[in-house]
Amino acid sequence: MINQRVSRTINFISWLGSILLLLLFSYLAWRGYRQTPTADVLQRWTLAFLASELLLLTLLSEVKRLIRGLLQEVKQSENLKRHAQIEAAERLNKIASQLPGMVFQFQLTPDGSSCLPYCSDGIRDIYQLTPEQVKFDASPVLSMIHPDDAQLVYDSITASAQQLSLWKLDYRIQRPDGDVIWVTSRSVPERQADGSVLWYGFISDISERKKIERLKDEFVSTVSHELRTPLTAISGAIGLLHGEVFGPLPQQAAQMTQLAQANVKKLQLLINDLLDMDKLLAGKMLFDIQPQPLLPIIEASLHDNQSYAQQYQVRYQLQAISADMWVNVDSMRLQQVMANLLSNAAKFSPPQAVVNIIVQQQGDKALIQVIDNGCGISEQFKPYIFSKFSQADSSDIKSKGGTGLGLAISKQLMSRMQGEISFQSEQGKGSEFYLLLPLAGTAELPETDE
Amino acid sequence: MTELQRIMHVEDDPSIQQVAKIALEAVGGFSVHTCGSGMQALTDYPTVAPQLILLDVMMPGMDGPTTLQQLQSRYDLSKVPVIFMTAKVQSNEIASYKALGAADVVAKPFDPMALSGQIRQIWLDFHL
Repeated sequence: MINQRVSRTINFISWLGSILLLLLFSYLAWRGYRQTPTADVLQRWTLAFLASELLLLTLLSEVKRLIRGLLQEVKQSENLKRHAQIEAAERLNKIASQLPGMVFQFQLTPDGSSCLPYCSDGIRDIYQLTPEQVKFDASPVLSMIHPDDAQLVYDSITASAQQLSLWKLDYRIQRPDGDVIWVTSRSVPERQADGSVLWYGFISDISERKKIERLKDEFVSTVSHELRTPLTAISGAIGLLHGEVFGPLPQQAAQMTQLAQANVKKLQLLINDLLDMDKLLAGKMLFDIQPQPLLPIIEASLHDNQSYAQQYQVRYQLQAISADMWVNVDSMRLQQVMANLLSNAAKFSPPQAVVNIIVQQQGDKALIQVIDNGCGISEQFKPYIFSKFSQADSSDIKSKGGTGLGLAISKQLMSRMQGEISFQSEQGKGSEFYLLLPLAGTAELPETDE
Repeated sequence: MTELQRIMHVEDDPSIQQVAKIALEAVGGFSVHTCGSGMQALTDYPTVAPQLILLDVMMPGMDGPTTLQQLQSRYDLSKVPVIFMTAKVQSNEIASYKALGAADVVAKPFDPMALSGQIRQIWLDFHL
């Protein structure tokens, strides 16, 4: 088609050029004949015309050949490009067909209409639709969003379009066969020249994961209630026996009740730690963070752990260098962290030892140090000290008990209160664990009557 | 202020009922009336006329918070402190029990030798 157009154009130029040359040379011949009226002049200009005509035709033929070559190259390049595009699309489809879900492009135009210009075959498994059914209109997909989640989905799409931010959401869809499945979606938006927004992303079926999560939640709830209920009864019954409510116990029986009580306590701690860790990891632990004076919390922690330290014949000694610091914390959770540090310090200290607790200000932070002269921490174990279920691999240390969760929980708790927990230790010489908490700003402190 | 004597304990687990009854009667010297469900508590309340109620939170049928609301709607509890006994003692959970009108919360598992002292202290604080 283009070739014919080029031929026609060249032919037209050729005819036009020939006519112009004929006119030019006729004029020149006429003028020359007027000056010198001989046949020789006419012959000379006729030859010049024929030579120019020949030159013009040769030139035009060369131009025609050149353009045809160029067009051929463009055509070949376009063919290659088309071939590469087809190959890329086939490759994408092959890869996408192996993904557990569907990959898609979702386009939202300024007038509110939407479509999925590209969608992998995975849409058949998730929405029971074909890519062709949604290529120009996304409504078959949108109409399947579960009514309870629809508003959430639309609001999040709107927000993603406005801010051009990642769209990431778990929601339910109700399929034509009546099944309700959970899907997770993640896609990145891009603003197009026509004002529409085009997302590139994937959707996958997470119904199985949601089922497992629900089972896990139910299990945790069962642990929380069903395990604690008998434990409450066991602990209470042993406590009454040990408290000699039913009369004095023989010495060996008293020893046995004491042993049972200690082990019930260990079980309680284990269950509490497991539940705490689960809540922390699931983001379900709620914090009541308020500005409050730090020292009373530390003093209460020492008071609560005094009897534990006495078991190991260890004494806590508090040194409050800065006494009037206020911090933003959940006092119960800070006491939980302190209880962990204090019990560890007592547990790993030799009898008659003193555990020093120093409270002081360091810049814009409150520093709480718990220093013991115990067995210290080996170099090999130091990197794992805040890991879950970490306990130094030594029968001596394991015999001290503990779940191996205390420090992992403490780290999570401190992090949630914008604080830090760290340590330094030398094996055989003792350990120093320290907490850093940002001081509450003066604007946050309650007003006091002068 | 009158001395605390009559306690109503609402708890569905028979083992915990027994332990708490002994702990409160033998150690604390109180008189304990045990109810196995929230519904029984609603029925028994007028005849028992407890001075203090110990209420389990998680119970089949009517749970602790519902039992408290039902009791409040039927009887005047302004002079009867209600204490929840529960293992669910996150700060927000405690706050929600208190918002319902609970005087305090005793964490499970409880120390049977210290329970009476705890209850007596809550009674004193309530009547301060």
